[in-house]
Amino acid sequence: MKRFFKTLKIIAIIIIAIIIFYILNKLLMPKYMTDLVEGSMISQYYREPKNHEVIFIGDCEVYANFSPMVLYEEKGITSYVRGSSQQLIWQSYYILKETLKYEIPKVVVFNVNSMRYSEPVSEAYNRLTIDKMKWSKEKYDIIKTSMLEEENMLSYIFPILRYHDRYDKLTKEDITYLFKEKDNTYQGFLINKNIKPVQSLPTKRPLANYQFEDIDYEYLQKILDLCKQNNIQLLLIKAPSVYPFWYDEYNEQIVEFAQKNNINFINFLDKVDEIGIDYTQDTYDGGLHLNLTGATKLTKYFSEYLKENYELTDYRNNSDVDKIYQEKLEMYHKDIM
Amino acid sequence: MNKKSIIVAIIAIIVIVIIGICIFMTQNKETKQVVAENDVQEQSNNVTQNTYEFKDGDKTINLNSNFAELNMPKENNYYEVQSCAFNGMDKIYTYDHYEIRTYPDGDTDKVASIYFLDEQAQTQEGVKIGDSFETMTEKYGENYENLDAKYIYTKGKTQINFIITDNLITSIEYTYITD
Repeated sequence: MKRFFKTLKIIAIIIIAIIIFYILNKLLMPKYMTDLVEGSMISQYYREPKNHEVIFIGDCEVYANFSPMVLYEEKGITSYVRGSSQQLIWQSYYILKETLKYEIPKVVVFNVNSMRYSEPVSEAYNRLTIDKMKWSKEKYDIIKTSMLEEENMLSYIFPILRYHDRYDKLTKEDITYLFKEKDNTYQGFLINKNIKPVQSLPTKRPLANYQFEDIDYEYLQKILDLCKQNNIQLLLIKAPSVYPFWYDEYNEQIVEFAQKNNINFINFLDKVDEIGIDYTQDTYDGGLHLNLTGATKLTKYFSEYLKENYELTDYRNNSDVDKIYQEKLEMYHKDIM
Repeated sequence: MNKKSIIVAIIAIIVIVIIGICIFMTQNKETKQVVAENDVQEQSNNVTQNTYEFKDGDKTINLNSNFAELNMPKENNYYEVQSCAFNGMDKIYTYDHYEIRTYPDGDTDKVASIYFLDEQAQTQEGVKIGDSFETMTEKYGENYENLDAKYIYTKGKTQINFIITDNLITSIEYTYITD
């Protein structure tokens, strides 16, 4: 009996040590709640009801430019933007794979801007996309494919190994959001109301090679295959960001891929006049991203396209779903005032 | 060994492991920083030997130098590139014959690249847009890295990049290799 209690105590101590270690990990990890909120977008999805017929994947060109609230208000389309900063194409693939564990949408919209990148860009961007993902096979794979040479898997498993030097930079935010998170987006759409017009652009430089790399095609094909296996229609888009330049040579390759695979591709840069985007008013950073007015115009245009080309449900006729969306819309309209 | 000793030993092991990992990672990071700082110091001491530099008339523009201290004339064109999420800005200043791109380094902007806009700009070694591949190798030698149409010469943490199309140089850019 004495031996039993002794063992029990040891187990209790180990459990307490693990709990302390867990709390320290949570405490030292950036919360992305009031600063660099882009890091919190991935995890907000887990708290959402999973009833989306359209899922967006891609980099900042999706989370800044497409508003699911407008899609719903205009056509009753339920959607979610699973975008993140500098989301690379293999990251989009794994995020889509993870999303399909929760729900099967009718349409997946992928922004092709990331086709231009064939290797990880920086640890900071990796962290914004990966840190807040729930643990899963997909998270393991996304880390493995995204890590830079100087990174290691352990620091993603135990964030304390990466963020231990934050101990003297902890703020109130780290305590407030130790065990909870707040929503910083509307279904993945990050509102920005500022205006910074396009006044000039840098010189459009010739490139040594315009050909997308094999790894980009490999993951684009994987995204397509995943969609096919799940009976989802894949729609490729290029958001109307005027910089960094989207070269004609890039565009031709996407057009060719889309035609070969019988899928749709819209380059919104060709539709700017039709949409009514005014780059003196509709961008918050000189043409890299649209602001709220620009995103609203673009999403309204896109809602027409989606409705005409895909069989999507008008959920405004479904009282249960509509109730949820009306509450969100009320908050959204207050926020955008 | 009594139970108290076991408990203390377990806690001590856990604490030591955590502290050990943290110290190891901090030291590793500090060592890398010192090495990087030494590299930069060494380069600034031997700027002419170990780096490529660009001259516009009498003005020498070194890569990674503080842009504000260059006292450049008013640019023809200016563009800021804010990254997707971070506060830092890359800035692009366009002059008559070249473009300077800076990157944020703390409170200062440092020269990240110099890109030639026309044949009026030429490298220190006398190569300009429109020259041939042979002129490039004559002036810079054969010790280049070739990626598709790009030819890269490296000195320390600076590079000069040429793009060759149909045997002619169509693009010249100096770049600084940031950490």
